[in-house]
Amino acid sequence: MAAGSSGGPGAPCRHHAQLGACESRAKYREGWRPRAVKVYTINLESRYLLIQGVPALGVMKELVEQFALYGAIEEYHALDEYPAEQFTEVYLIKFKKLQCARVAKKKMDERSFFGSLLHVCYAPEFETVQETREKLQDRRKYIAKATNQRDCFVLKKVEGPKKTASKSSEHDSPWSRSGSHVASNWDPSCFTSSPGVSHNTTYPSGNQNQSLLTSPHYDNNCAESSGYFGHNTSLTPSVHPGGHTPPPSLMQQRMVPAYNGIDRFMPRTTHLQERKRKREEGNKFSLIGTSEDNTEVVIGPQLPEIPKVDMDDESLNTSATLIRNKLKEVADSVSMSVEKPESSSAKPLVKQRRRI
Amino acid sequence: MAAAPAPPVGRRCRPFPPTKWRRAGFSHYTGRACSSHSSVHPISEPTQPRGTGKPVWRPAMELGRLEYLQALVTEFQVTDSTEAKEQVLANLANFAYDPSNYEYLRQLQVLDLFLDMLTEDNESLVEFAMGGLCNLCLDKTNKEYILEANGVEPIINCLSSSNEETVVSAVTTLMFLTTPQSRAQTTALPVVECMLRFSLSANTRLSNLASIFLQDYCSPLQVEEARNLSKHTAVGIPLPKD
Repeated sequence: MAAGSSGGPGAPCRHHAQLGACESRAKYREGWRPRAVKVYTINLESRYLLIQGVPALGVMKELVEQFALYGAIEEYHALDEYPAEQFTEVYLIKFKKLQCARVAKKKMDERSFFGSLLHVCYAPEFETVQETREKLQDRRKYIAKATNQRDCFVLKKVEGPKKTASKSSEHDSPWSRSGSHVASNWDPSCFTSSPGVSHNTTYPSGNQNQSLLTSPHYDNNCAESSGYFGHNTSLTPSVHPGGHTPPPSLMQQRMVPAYNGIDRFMPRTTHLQERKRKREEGNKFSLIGTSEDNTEVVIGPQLPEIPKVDMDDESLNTSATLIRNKLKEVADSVSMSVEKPESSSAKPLVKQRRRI
Repeated sequence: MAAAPAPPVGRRCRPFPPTKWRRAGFSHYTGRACSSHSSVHPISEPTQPRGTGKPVWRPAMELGRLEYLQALVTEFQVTDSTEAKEQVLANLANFAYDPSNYEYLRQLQVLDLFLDMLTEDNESLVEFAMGGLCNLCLDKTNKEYILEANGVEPIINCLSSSNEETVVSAVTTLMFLTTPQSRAQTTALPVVECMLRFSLSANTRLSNLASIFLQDYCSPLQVEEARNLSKHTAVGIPLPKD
């Protein structure tokens, strides 16, 4: 049996210990900061961060504020029973998202705080079973997305939509890499032979090369993920050598939980293009002169007003309305000032003479 | 595989040979990297590039990624220093966390390297190799590769290691490697029994993972079977004196 740490959470663990930095690295693989030799796996990483070396000056509030810069914090408290050096305290901070905790650890570790060096490490032993489970599931989803393998993973206890949404926002890097390819290069080769699937179009792609790699495995994806739970083992025989025909109903079931967060990631260019299109349509109609009520006799094209495009967003619409009103005001005032040049010219002369 | 696109205009242009972009047979790189380490072009930013704090010249790092990984692997094979081996292995294991590296790692046969290291005497090497496998085994292709290479057996053996990290990584790796085809192996009776014991451990990390293994990856029947088995073994019961 593995030698574990004794005591539950709150006791010092081996993985809390700060290892010495490695001095003997070959030049070509030296980093910018001296680092210890350590491997981080998903087991070690956690939303819980243990912070040691906080000076005992009653600075909990400032500490939490500092960490809150990296993400929303769910909980925090001091760990009084944790062995600490004299005049220092130990705190536990729980972030809402793992990614925030990772960034916070990276930035705050070995940082000076009120004259003392902080030592920040992960504290996965504080997790509950469910939290650990969710952590592993999130990692699974992340890998599936990052490698564009539609791993139709449905767990008994999955909390699909909520977790995917948060996971989507956490791992922006794979998206930003493939972001430019999103609406253009999507290769539907994975899905050509599955007629029942209606939500192909919601998948952002980025799978330029990898779809070719992964499509042969696609039939395995479905079979293996649903196989754990004793049902759908008949899936395997039903997949024919052509490769990509999972039963539509199964695909529906498994795809939806994994990809609810997708609409948040419609690329900005698509939004802009849509608005442009709407605007142009608006322009088109204004020139043609369609009006709902046919009581007016429309002679010739209407002058195109500043098109009032609905931008699908309240705040954007408010700003747009404000800007439009302002423009109208300015336009009006300009036309007015043209009519009264004399009265306005006198004023500036007088104003220039102001003395403080 | 499609040819990689030309380097984007505006990024720093480094004098790399044009073949780099075509990822031709990497014996080309092997030839270069095999010469002594000091002559390897010092690629700026060789820190483990995980996390979001990526420095500005990461594009240069992208260019040299395969070369850099190749240099690591070569050093590992060539060096006599245990320390250097450990450092390089840890470096590779951390690279294995990021899916963008998986293709390179496969090309360089790092998966086999990790699997081979599981049977080493050096505890650190086992720990790092197990961590590396844990990091990359979720990817479909990697998963199949490991299963085909009979990787499950050495991983199961790691469950009896005295190193906490090794055990924890092994539990997670077994979870991730469980597929309908492999579950006969990954959830074999001895494994389930082991997990039962772990779930009672005082080590929260281990007990959490073992509980998840039992609840999500084993059928109730399997758990019951393992429970009955451990009930009948005489562990902890003193032998009768007469």
